[in-house]
Amino acid sequence: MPTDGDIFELLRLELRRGSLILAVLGQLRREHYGYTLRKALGDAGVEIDEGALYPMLRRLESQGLLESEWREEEKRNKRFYRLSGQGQDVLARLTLEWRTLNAAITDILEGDA
Amino acid sequence: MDDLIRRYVAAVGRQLPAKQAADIQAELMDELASRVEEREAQLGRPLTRADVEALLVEFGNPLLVAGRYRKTQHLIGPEVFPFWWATLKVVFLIALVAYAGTVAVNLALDRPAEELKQVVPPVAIVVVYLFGLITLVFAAFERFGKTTWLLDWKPARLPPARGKRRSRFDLGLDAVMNLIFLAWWFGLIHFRDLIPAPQQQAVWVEMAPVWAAWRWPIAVYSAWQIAADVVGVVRPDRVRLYTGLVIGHCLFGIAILSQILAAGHWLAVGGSQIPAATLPKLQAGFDIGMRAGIVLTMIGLAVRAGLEGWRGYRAAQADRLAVAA
Repeated sequence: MPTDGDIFELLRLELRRGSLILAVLGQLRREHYGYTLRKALGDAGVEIDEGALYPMLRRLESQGLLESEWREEEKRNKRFYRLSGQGQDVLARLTLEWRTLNAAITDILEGDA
Repeated sequence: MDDLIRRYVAAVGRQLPAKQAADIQAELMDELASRVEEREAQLGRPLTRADVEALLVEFGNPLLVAGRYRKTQHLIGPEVFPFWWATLKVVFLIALVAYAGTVAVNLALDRPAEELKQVVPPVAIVVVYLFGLITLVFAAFERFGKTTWLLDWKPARLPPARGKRRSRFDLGLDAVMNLIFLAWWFGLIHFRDLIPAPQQQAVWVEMAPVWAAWRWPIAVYSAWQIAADVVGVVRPDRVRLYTGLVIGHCLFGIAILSQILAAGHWLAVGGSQIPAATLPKLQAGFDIGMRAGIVLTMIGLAVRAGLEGWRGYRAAQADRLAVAA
């Protein structure tokens, strides 16, 4: 029997899943490699597990939303990601969708039931 | 310490597609090296082997980490799952009936347990085989994206909301039973194993010649039932057609039975150990039983036709009222 805590955690993960992609795309308007991207997201208040982050980066790149290149930095080869032209377009549309949804949900939550 | 990280990254790489493995491994190696540096900065000392082990455990099982890079994350997704589950239930139910029937027949024949095991496979094997086969078929639909036909449906073909309806399983089972009957009726299958030959019995009962004259009408009667069952399963929305078929089937059955009833003699009884004086009485007893059975069947068919007609009339009235409203 799942506890209230289990149910909350499950729902919290579901709620965050879609918004993480938006956060990653938004953060990659500036170039990052995996580790600094995760740190930047964490500093902004969006914790993301690397087990989820790296496959997501691969998927977004295969969808044409990100570009990447290997470069040496701090004596190590690192893969740098940034938003592609198509990614910028998709990010703009997703941002609009996010704001509309956010406003609607805020109205629902703050309005009279 | 580096050895542990290299072993970990290699373990992940072994689970990845060959084309991507080197690239992903290089990226993981950098991520882990960055983590080690971060942890060392926090602790103010180099990491011990135990620290690295803890860090890798935290990072995740190599199989799980590699699995997240796979394009396919599930065997059967949420869209296909309900169809897979419904099919599994129906197939298991049919298999259960078939299994129970086979076991019952073999037990009735008093076959030894060893012989029974040769005829009937263990239930666990049947269950696993069916589960595997159905899952493979649906996983193939999921994998190759051939799911549109599953999701394609027409609201107009849904059965009416009101009124009792026979379940699809019930209709399907009825059709299968009639197919078995037809196969037996035309001699394609025999039940000789179940019923020993007449000469081997103290008392034997055979069908009288009257039935031969009704060979084709009875076959049509059975095929008619199959047609009605198929309409009920495939087009549950065609209530009038189904009702018409059932009523027609019942009336046709009454017509056949009324003619057969006139024969007055339906079963031939005999037996080597029956005294000659007893045989006519036994024959008369069987004929009385058959007459009662035929009359009761005719009454049953008439009641069913009447009920179906009444339900059809009520449904049509409800439709008219709904349209008027």
